[in-house]
Amino acid sequence: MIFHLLYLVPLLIIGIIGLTVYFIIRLIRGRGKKGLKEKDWYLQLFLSKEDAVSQFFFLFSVFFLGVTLLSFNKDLGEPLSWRTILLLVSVIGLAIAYYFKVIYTLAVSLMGLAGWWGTQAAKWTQEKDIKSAALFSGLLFIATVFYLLGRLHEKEIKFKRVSMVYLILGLIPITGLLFFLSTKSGLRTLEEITRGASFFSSWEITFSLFVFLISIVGILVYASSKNLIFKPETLVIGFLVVLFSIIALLPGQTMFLQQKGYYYGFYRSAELSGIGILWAFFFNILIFLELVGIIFLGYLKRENWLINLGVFFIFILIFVKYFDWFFTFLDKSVFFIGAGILLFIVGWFMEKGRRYLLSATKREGISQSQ
Amino acid sequence: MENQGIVEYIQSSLTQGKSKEDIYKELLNQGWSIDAIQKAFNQIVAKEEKEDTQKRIIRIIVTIGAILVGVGIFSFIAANWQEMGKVMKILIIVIAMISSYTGGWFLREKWHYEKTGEALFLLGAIIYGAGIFLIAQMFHTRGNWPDGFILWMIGTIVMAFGADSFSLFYLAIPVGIAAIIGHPFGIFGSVGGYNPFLLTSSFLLFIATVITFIAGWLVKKRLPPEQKELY
Repeated sequence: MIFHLLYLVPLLIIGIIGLTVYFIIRLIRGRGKKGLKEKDWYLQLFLSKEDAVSQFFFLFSVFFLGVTLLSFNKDLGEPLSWRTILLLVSVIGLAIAYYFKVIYTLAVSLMGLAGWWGTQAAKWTQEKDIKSAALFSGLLFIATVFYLLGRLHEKEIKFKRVSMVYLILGLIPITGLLFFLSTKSGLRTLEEITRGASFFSSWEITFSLFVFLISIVGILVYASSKNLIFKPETLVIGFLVVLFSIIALLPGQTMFLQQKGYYYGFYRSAELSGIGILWAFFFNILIFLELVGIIFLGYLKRENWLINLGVFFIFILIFVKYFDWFFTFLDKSVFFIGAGILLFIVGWFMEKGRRYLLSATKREGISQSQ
Repeated sequence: MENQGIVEYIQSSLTQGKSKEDIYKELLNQGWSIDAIQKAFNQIVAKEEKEDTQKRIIRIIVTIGAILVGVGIFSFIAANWQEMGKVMKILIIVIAMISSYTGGWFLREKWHYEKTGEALFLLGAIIYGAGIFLIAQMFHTRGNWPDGFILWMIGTIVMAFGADSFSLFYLAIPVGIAAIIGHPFGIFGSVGGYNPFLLTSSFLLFIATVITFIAGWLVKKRLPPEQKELY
C-alpha cells in the first residue's frame, strides 16, 4: 500500500513545481503589463519580466555566494565566524545592488548589514554584561539612517526604487518598535534591557553608536541644506534620535509593581508602576503622533502609499489597543460586540479620511500640472 | 466605418510609442469628439483583453498538458522501475528530454505554436531535473540533495538562454530557491562530526554563484529600452 502511495510523490513534486511556476508567471506578467505607464511605477516589485528574472538571479548570486563561503569555511575548519561572512556578503551585495540598481539585492544586503551589526553588538553586550538598550538604540539609529538615505535618493528618477527600499526599511522598524514599546510586553522588555553596565564599557558599541549618530546628523544637515526634507520632518527625526539616545543611556527602570506570585510571563495582569505609567502614556501618544505624521507626510509629498501605510498602521494600532486595554476587565460578549462596533466606526472614519486626503492630493496634483 | 478609422489611427499611434495624452490632443485637433476617442480606446482595450484571455487559456491548457504528460511518464517509469535495466532507464530519461526539447523547438520555431512549444520546453526541463535525481539514485551517487537542484537550475538557465524561453527562467527560480534553502540546513545541520557534505558542493555552489550572476546580467541587458533609462 505504502509502495503504491510512493507513486504519488513524483506527482506531488511536479504539481508543486507546476503551481509555483504558474504563480510566478501570473505575478510577473500581471506586474509587467503596468510597467512605467503607472503613476506609482516605483512601487511595483518589478517593471517587466526581464526585470523580475534579472533581479531574482542577482539575488540568487548573492545568496549562493553566502552559502559558498559558509561551505568553504566549514571545509577549511571555520577560520571565519558566520557573522564575518554575513558582513562580507552584505557588502558585496550592496555593491552589486548599487552598480546594477537591483532592489531585491539591496533590501537583502541592507537587512544583512543591520543583522550583522545586531548580532555582533549582542556578542559585545554579552561579553561585558552591558545593558542591551544600546543594541536596541543602535538598530533604531540604523533604521533612521536608512530612512534619511531614502529621502536623499528619491529626487533622482534612477534611484526612485532604491529610495523606496530605504524608506520602507527605515519606517517599518521604527514604527514597529515604537508600537511594541507602547504595549505591556514592550515596557517589560524596556525594563529588562535597561539593566546592566553602561555601553561605554565597550568601545566597539560606543564607537558604533557614535558613527551612527554622526551619520544621522550629517545626512540631516545635508538634506536640510538642499531642501530634500521638510522642516517639521527634520524636527521629528531629531526628536526621535534624542529619544533613542536617551533609551541607550537610561538607568535601570522598574516598570511594574512587584506583586506576590508575579513572575515573568504573567505581566499582563501586573500593574504598572508610576514610572511605567509615564512611559506607557509617552509611547502611546508617540506612536499615535508618528502614524499621524506618516499620513501628513504622505499628504505633503503627494504619496498615496504613505497615506495608505499610515492608515493601515492606525487601524492595527486601534484594534490592538482595544484588546490590550479592555480584554481583561470587560465581559467577553460586551468586549466582542464593542470590537465589532469599533471596527465599523474606525473603518467608516478611515475610509472617509483616506478618501478626502487622496482626492485632495489628486486635486493639488492636477492644479499644479495646469 | 469612421469609427474603424479612428481605431486604426490610435493603434498605429500606440505602436509608434505615442502617449495616450498626445493621441487625444491630435485627435481633438482633427475634430474628433472626446466621446468618440474614448469609445475607440475602449474598443481597443476590449479587443486586447479578449486576445489576452484567449492566449492565457491556451497557455494554461498546454501547460497542464505538459505537466500531465510528465506525470504519465513518471508514473510509467515508477511502476516499471525495478524491472528495467540501467541502460533502459537512462535511455528513457534522455530520449524523453531530447524529444520534448526538439518537439518544443519545432512547434515554436517552424510551426509558430509558441505556447505549445514553450510548454514542451518546460516539460523537457522538468524531465531533465527528474533525470538528475533518478540517475543519482540509480548509481548510488554520494552527494548532497541540494546539489541536484543546483545542477537542475544551471541546466535550466543554460537551456533558457539557448531556447530564449522565459518559461524556463521562471522554472529556474523555484528550483534555485530549493537549492538555496537546502544547503545551509545541511551545512549547519551536520552534527556529531558527521558531515554529509562533500567538498564538491562548495565548488558547485561557487559555480552557481557565477552562473546566476552572469544570468542576471545577461537578462538585464534585454530590458525594454524605456526601462534601461532607469538603470
